[in-house]
This record gives sequence, structure tokens and C-alpha cells, in this order.
Amino acid sequence: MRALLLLFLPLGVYCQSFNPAPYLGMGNTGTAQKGIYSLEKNPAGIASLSSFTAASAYQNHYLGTGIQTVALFIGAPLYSNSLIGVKALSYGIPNTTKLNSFGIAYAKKIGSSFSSSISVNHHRYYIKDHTNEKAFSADLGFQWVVIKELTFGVFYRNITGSQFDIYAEQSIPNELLLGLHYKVSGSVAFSCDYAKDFNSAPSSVRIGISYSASEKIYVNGGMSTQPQQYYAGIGLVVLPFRIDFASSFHPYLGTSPQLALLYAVR
Amino acid sequence: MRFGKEIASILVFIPLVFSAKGQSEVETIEEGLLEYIAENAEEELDFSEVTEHLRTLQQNPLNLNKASKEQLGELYILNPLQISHLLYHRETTGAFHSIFELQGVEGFDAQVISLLQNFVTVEEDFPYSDLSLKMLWEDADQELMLRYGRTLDKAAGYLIKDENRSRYLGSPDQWNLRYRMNYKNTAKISLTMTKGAGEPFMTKDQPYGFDFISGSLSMNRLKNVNQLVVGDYALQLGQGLIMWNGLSFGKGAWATSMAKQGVQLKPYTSTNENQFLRGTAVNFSYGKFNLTSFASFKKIDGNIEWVDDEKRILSRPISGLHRTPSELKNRKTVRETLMGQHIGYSANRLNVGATFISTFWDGNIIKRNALRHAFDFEGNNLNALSVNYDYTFKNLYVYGETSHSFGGGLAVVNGLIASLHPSLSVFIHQRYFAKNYWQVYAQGVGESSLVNNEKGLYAGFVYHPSRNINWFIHADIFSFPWLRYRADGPSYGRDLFTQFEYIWYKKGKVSFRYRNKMRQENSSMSPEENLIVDIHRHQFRVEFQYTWNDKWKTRTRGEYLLYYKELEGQQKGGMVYQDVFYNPPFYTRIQFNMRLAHFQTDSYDTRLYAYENDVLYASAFPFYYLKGWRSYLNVRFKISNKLDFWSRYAFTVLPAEKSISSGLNQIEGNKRRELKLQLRWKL
Repeated sequence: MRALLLLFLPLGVYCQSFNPAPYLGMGNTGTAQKGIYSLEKNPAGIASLSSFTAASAYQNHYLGTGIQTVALFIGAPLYSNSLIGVKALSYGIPNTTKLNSFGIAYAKKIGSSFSSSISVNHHRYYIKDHTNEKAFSADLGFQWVVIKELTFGVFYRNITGSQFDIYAEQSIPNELLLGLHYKVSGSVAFSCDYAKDFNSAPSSVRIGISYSASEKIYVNGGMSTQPQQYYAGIGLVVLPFRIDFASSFHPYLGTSPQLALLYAVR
Repeated sequence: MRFGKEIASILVFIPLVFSAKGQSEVETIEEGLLEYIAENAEEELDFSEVTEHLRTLQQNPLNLNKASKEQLGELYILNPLQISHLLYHRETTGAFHSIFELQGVEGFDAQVISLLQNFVTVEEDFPYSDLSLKMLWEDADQELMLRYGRTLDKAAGYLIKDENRSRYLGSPDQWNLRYRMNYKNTAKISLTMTKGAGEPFMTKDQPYGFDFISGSLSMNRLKNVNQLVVGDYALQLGQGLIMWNGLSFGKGAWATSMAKQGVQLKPYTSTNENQFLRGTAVNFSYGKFNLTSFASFKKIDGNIEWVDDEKRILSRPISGLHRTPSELKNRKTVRETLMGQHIGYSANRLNVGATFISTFWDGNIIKRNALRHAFDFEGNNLNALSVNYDYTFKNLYVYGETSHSFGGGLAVVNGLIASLHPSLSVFIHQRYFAKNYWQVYAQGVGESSLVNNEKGLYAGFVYHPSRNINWFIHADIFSFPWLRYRADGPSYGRDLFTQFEYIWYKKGKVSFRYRNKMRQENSSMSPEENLIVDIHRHQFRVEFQYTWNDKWKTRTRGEYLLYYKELEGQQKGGMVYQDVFYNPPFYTRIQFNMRLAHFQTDSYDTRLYAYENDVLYASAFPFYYLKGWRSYLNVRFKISNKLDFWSRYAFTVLPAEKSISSGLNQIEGNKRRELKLQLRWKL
């Protein structure tokens, strides 16, 4: 049955959709956001980390399909203004197929307004008894704090244009992300991303809002085009942890709930 | 009849651009409300119920100390959160002494208050017990208005003499006679009579003169009775899933319009010949309970046939047009009886209600054969029950309604409006209308014209960071689980809309709009395969309006539309127009406004809509298509303090065409000229 699903769900389309819960809930944005979860959407954002931080996430894509993502993120300051981050993602249907990514990112603050990152990733595409493809890619990211409330982000995923062997029906995203993040007030933040995957997909506009009823509770919501879908999420802060639950809501394919847990050394 | 965003920010598109003159404010509100819905209208709309109501309030402002939630909603200025905060403030701190006290109420700022000033007051209310017939005659505002209109170029339908062919039996003249009496918003009498173009008048085909005659007597605040209406009336209950007469503002430029704020009961004043009830309705209160009882007996249009002794109702046309022999044959052939009860309960900031409605016809409604009608209603009696609620908690407003038609399915809406910050509001509106949900006078927020066979989620936000900037964005994702007109299979779509405005307070604004809509429809390339294809519309608009001095105002618009239908390729359309308004502050004898528009569209599919100023109480939303020019001139002439005269001359020229329009409306030649004359006598 699961092998049958493969016929209808080209993984390449979906593997690109993973985004950690706090960003997923905000309309699948994140290019201009900061924190450990930036390792997925723009590692320049980890330059804000002041201590060792680790996070993990689990997402069930389109409930009932059995497709899932397990993710692990680790970030740590190295020396003045430099940080290192590691991410590991495993996407697929257990015991059937996997698309695994392992990446190391180096991020650096440049002055008080700029930060940049470079990351190197290893990808492995595996279908049981069928395919075992491997490839390396590299990414580049920037963030610019225009004013305290407003940050711009640019992320180029896979600047090397790497791909699996042509035999694999799978592609590594070759994607440009432009994002802005604006703090309307202490409790409200707004995020907007533009994404263009040069491999095939049409460009996508993503918009999200985060509202914190208090310092301990965050409520997120957003929407995107391509795919046209809504997002919602909630975040709870119980120091030194933060727990996030978010989902996308595709009108036909259904919900993709995700749970993420963050731990930061205080 | 339906169409198919700190808190003041929600009002962005009731633009904060207005001159010091009330009339132009009403027009600005009207345009903001109506522009979006007209594009989805499936019939010609009469917007006078909004314009007439607002202009009446300018003469007889609403008392802020007595105004109900429903009356405040009918101002079309305040969103549900603002209304809730206003009522809560009044309840906890007592009566207002000045409208400027509103500055201390959450959600109100100087701009909203400035706009409100035109329609509300804080004077003592008039005690009904002092009312006498003499006072009614001497103190009441009375108004008699006669309008004449005609397309000067004769259409094909008037030229046919062959009695065996479809043709217009009446003249191209349009008449509209209105009488209104308003005694301090407590007693109202209204009479409306119309004859449309092509409808016979005082002939054997229509011996009673006017084709549509509507009247009502309305009394407010009679001891425990809040309102009593005898004659024609309109009901607006809950979220409209069971009963909503009159204009229904759904998705659109007014961000909170999807959260309906019905007036419950009001006298009917519109010229729409279908969206009203005829009989008696009364609204009264017992403590925290509010009851509205209503009964309606009216004859409606129907295409009927007799099979043995059974009267079968094959269709119920709602256009109100009675021009041709077949339209006249269907006129008032079906007797419709409707009775119902609405009970509301209010406690603190919670409102809940329940409505039961039973509708009878003197024949059996038969559903049509086409597969898309498979779940339509059949029978001579339809019963429905609904429950509705709304609740305000701090800066969160939630609302909803669930309605069930007996023997059929459910219709459900739920929504919320949250003011996350003084400059940012978000809204979410969910809808589910079963394919077998039926209710005659239901109007919900949706894509199709029926509260039926549709589900969707509509969400967006309004950002108003300063007095000068407004930004509104919304998205709607919807689907039609069953077949519908021009879609022989389940289909879906989306609607994205964003508008950015820069405002010079009380002076002008420049706005940019982009709308992207995708819907699915049958392909006309292979009708035999019933193939459903995507239709994409990308619409871009730039508008600039500015009040140059106390007399002159201009408005300039440019619009461009890209239309793409799968398998059939791309089409485009464009339009530019320039409007000029001359409105002296101290009213001189003459006011005028005019437009010159140029448009070029590839086809009817790329037609573009634009609001047109008109004579008082009239407004138009024609679409512009093919290649040509359109222009109009409206002039108001004040004959005396009591007598006003309006005239309108408009023309359309399509240089490359040999005829305009089609069917019975076809006009030979490349010009269509329209004339309108109107006289108002304030008694």
C-alpha cells in the first residue's frame, strides 16, 4: 500500500515543505526570522543565538498518508560573532523510502545590522530495494536588520545547483527566498516571504502573523500561495523549553500537524 | 441579490477620505461597500436601501444614547468590536453627553468619530407618547420623488410587431415614484412604485399602472414594542443563513462585512421585486429576551404547469422583469406564505438567538432534470430552524450560525475578528453549505449566489500603522462539492486580494490593488467530455482621488485585467477614466460631476466594472467591454429650498461595432445614449 502511495505522491514536491513549527504556523515563512529554527529557512538567523540551543521536530504530512519528517537542530556560539549549527532531517515513509539531509552551517554577525551564513549539506535519497542516491549541496544566507523592528532576509538554497542522478525522480530544491519580518509591537509580529524554486515550481508568496497573548503563549497564523493553504500554530514557553504545535491546512490533501521542542541553555 | 476587513483599521475601505460635505461621504461609503459586490451580482441591484438610509440619518441622526446594536450596524461604519465596546461603555458609564466621548472608547479614533458625526447625535430621545397626528403632519420630514429614465436608442425588443415573437410590450420609459414620511425615526411611511424599461403601463397587459408597488407603515418604540411594520418589510437575522432580505455584503472591501450585523426588522424601501416580505412583523423585548414575529403573504413569479389537478412550479424567476409575453405570463402566479419566529437573548456581551421559519407555496415545487439540480428542494412546504451567536471577549469577536432545513442538510458559518494591536486586525470566516440545504431568503458569505453546495475558509488582515497608510489582504479558498452552473463536476477555486492605500487626511488618497482569482468551469473546447478547466483572473488597479479645494475634486483610475482559461488561451482588458466633481461648500444652485472613460477589452470575459455616480438614491455599476468610450454628466439644480432637480446624460460609443448588446436589447449602430431626470419635493 505504501509503495502504491509513491506513485501518487512524488516526494520531491513535498519534501520541500518542511519548516519548523514556529515558522510553519506563520504561513510557512522564516527567511527573515531568528533563532535555532533558522537552520532550515536561513541559517543567518542563528547568529542571534547567545547560548547552546537544541531543537527537534516531528511532522506527519497529510494525516493518514504515513509520510513523516523527523528533524534535529543544534546551534552553538563558537567565538565572538560566529556560530555553528547542525541540522539533520529525515523525510519519507518508514521502512519504504527516505530522503535524508544532514547539514552544517557557519553563521557570522557583521557589525550590528548584518549577519550571513554558509552551509553545506549532504542528501541521500533511498527507496528500499530500488534507489540509493547521494549528493552534496551548499547554501548562502543573509539577514539585514534595517531598524530594530524590521529585518530583511535572503537565502539561496543549493547555490551549487546539485541534483541526484537523473535516474532518481527526485530533486534537491534550487530555491531563492526573500523575506521580511516586522515587529508591529511587543506582542504582534508580521512575516512575509517570497520563494522561487528554479527547478520547477511556480513562485510562492507567504504571509504570517504571530500574536503573543503573554510572554508564555504565542498564537500564529498565515497563508501562502502555491500551494494555496492556511497555517496555524501555538507556542508555549516553559523555560528553558519552548513547545510548538503547528499545522498546514491544505484544502484537499488535509492537515500536516507538527510538534517541535526547543531547549536553550540559560 | 448577493455577491457573489486598535480596531478602526478594519474600516480601511470605508475610506477615511471625505470632504466636509455629508453627501460626498455617503457616496464614498456607498462606493466602498458596493463596488466589490457588484462584480459578483447576478442581477441588476438597487443600492438605494443603503444610500437612502444614510441620507435619512443625515437629516434625522441616530441617537447614540438609544441606538441598538442593530441600528449601529446599519451605519456601515462600525465593525462588531467597535459596536460591542460602544454599547458596553454606554451600559457601564451611562449616557453620552457628546459624541467626542467616543474617543475614550476602545477602538475609536478621530477619523471614525469624524465620519460618525454625520449620522449620529446624543440628543434626548423623542418620547413617543407625545405623538399626535397634527405633529406628524407638521413636523415629519416628507419627501416625494419622481424619476424618469430612458435609453434614447431603441432596442430590438421594441421594434418587433409580430405577436408570435418575444418582444417588449411596454415603452422604453422607466418611472420611479417614491413617497417617504419620517417622524424623528419613530414613525415612517414609505411608498415605492416602479415601471421598468419595456414593462407595460396602464395597458391591457398591465392595467394597474406601475409594475411594482411597495409600501409600509413602521412604528418604533411603542411601549414594549420596539418596532411594528405593516406592509412590506425586510428581515435580517443572524448571519443570514435562514433569513436575510436586502443587500448582503459578503467578501469585499469592507473587511468586517462577512460578520453580518443585521437590523432584524426594517421597513422595505428598495425596488428589488423579490427580496422582501409582505404582511406584518413585530419586534418586542422582555428583559434580556427579544422576539420578532413575522408573517408574509405575497404572490411571486413562477413558471407553472397543471398536471391533472396538481399545480407544479417549475421555476421561480427573481429578476422582477415583466417585459415580454412570457415574463408577464409568469408574473405573480404563485402564492407564497411564510411565517416565523426569532428569539434573541442578550447577556453581558453574549448574544444568542434561534429562528424557525415555515414557508408554504400553493403548488408543488419541482426540481429540474439537470444533474446539478439533483439535490434541489421539492414540495410545497419548507421548514427550517437556525441558531446564531456572537460574543465579545476583550478584543476578540466571535460569531456564527447553524441552520437546518427539514428533510435537507445543514448550513454552518463561524468566524472571528481579532484586534491584535491598535494597528492590526485579523479575521477568519468559515462556511459550509450542504448541497441539500434550502432556504428561500438565505444569503451567506460565499462565492455562489445560493447558500448551497459550497465550503470555504476566508481569512485576512488589515494593517493601519498610521493615519496615512492602510493595507488590506485577504484570501479565500473554496470548493463546490457538487455540480453547479457551468461546472459539470465538483470544482474549487481561490480568491486573493490585496490593496494598499496612502491617504491625505480629508484630502485624498492613492491606492493600488491586485486581485487574483481562480475558479473552475466547463471547457468550451470539448463540451462532450465535460472537462473542467481552471480560469485565472489577474486584476491590477491604480486610483488617485484628491480634493483640490472647497469646490473641485477629481478621481482618476487605471485598471488592467489578464484572463486565462486553460485550453483557450489568454485575454486582456484595460480601462482608464477621469472623474471631475464640482461641489461648492455653501450650496449653490448647481452641482455637477462627470466622467470620461476609455476601455479596451478582448471579450466579455475581460469586462471591467466601475462605480458610476448617478442621480440621488441611484447608483450604477455597469461593466465596460469591447473597445470604446463612455461618458456621463450628472447635474443637480436647486430650484428652491424644497425643490431639487437632477439630470443625467450618459453615452457609450463602440466605434468598431455595428450594434450594441444582444437579443432583445440589441441596438443598431455604435452608440447607446441614456437620459435620466429626477425631481424631489420636500414637503
